[in-house]
Amino acid sequence: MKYYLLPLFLLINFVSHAQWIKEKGDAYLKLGGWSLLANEHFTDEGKLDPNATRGLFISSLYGQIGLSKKINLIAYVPFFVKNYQFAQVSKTNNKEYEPRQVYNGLGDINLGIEYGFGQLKNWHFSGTLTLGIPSGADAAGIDGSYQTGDGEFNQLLQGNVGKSFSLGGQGFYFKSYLGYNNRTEGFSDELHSYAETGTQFLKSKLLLLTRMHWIKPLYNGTLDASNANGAIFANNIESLVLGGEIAVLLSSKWGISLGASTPLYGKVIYRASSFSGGVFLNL
Amino acid sequence: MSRPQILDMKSFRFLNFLFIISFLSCGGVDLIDDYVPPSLRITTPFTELTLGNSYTFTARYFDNVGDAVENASIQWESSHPELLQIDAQGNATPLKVGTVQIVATLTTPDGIVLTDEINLSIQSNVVLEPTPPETPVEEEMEMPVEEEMPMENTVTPTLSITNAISQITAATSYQFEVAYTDEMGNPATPPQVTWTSSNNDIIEVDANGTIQAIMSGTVTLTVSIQISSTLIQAHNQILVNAPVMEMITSFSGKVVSKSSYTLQGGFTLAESENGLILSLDEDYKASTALPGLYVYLSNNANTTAGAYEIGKVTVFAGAHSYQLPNSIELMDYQYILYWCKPFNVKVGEAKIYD
Repeated sequence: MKYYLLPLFLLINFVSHAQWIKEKGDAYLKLGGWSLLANEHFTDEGKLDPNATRGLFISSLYGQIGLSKKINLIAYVPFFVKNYQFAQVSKTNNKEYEPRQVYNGLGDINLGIEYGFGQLKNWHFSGTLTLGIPSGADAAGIDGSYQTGDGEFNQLLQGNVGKSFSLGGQGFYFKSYLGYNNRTEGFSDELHSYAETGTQFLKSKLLLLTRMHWIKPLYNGTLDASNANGAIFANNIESLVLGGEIAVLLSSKWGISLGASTPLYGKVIYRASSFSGGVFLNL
Repeated sequence: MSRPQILDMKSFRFLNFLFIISFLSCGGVDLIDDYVPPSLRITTPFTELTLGNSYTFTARYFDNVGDAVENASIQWESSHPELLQIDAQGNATPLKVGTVQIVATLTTPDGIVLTDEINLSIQSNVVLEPTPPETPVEEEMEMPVEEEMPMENTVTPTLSITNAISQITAATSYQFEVAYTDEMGNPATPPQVTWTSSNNDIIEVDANGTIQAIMSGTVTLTVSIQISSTLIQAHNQILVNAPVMEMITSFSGKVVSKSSYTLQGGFTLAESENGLILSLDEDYKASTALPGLYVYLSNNANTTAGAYEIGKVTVFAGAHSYQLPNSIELMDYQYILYWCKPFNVKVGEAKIYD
């Protein structure tokens, strides 16, 4: 079930506060933590069912570096993933049926390259190719369900667009992308749609943003419970997630951010809000 | 000249905070609402008893989470002791044909009195002959002696079986009775009688006329007495039938979803030579979206703790079956549970019996 989280990794961590592509030699680094705790989930039919309380905590490093005026390298490294479940205890006699379970490991690393196509009026256009490296464990923990990765190599190709605009004298930005995630090992391919808007206050030291991310599987995969061993919750994930973030520049180079997201709708994902925090550097 | 400092102390403190959160964030407990009313269950599902046999009844006590409690003190009672006697260990002896109820009772440590009942029909183990044969067979051994008897004052002694039978159930017993009339035509206690069976492998008979039916077959039972030089006999041809244990041997019902996941289908849990077989019908269907769907037998529909794990579900549509080990008996569990094991999600259930 944790695999529904992977799209959120992309959402949370692959969005820098930089609005457009980095100039050569510029970089954005973020060391972050992301946490979720859920005791219910959206089923394959989009209905809500309970589950044992499970949590995921991810410590990650995100970096975006300008190699040239038009090319950026992007890396997301979830170097410490904690997948855990609460102890299961009888309410009647306090007998512990199952102790708490924890698995710590490396998650799936994402490596990407973004190419800036240029600007047309106030619109900025770019394309990104992100490779999902199956560096995490696709079967972990006592029963194999504490995975930190999906075990498949995927390629997300997206077209990005961004624009700056003003409303009532207040400057805003908007950016969005459409993507196609080609998944392997029997997983269904996915369409990704993303939109974000934000504005800055306090002489650009305070950034508020909100975002929405929609993932739609194409149901062309072959994995299901009859032929997969526990990894099927990585497959046919559908979600519409609303999030927000606040970032504060504490100096000219670094700042902190706090964010939260919640799924408005989904299939085969947890229904719970996630929270994130991090320290970012603009170099 | 000092090196440029990318992260200051505040940043490191914040990072430390993140890591502390990461290590502390895996605690917590899920309380499983696993209460079920304590119950007492008679686990020997006899429906019919046969005279001449003895039976041992068993019952099990399940506590408030459905766990079986061993060595529970159970009392047994017969509604009609004149029809059936039962002792403290659950050993029952049918005495007469009729209908009787056996009640098992247990008082829990909390003072709750639990009972379970079973209604039984007591059947005869024999089929009586409609008209008992009273055709004494007289064999003349020494003619000269007979010629000297005073014919005008005596009659031929007779010997007959008064409760002759045509059929008996194997593994049961039966007591024969005989009637004898002496030379004067008066009923009398017969002299030394001798009982014999034409096949001791099928029916054994003792000196008192008590037979023990052993196995299927046909036997001629003979009782004889020797009066002077005359051997008088009575015969009874008996068919021994194989015993039929009238017990519940299967349960059927419906598996229903208790979640938002698809799960449905009829089931039968039935005894076989190699143990119980759980069969799912052709209309069975289960969601393929769940990781780790398992099927269990349990006495608590709210948890798989204490349940018997049959195995991981690998068939998601259509008829199929599970062979269960001999150690599991028909009445051991009350529910079939379908459970998403990794995430402790109840998917569906079937109640095997009430």
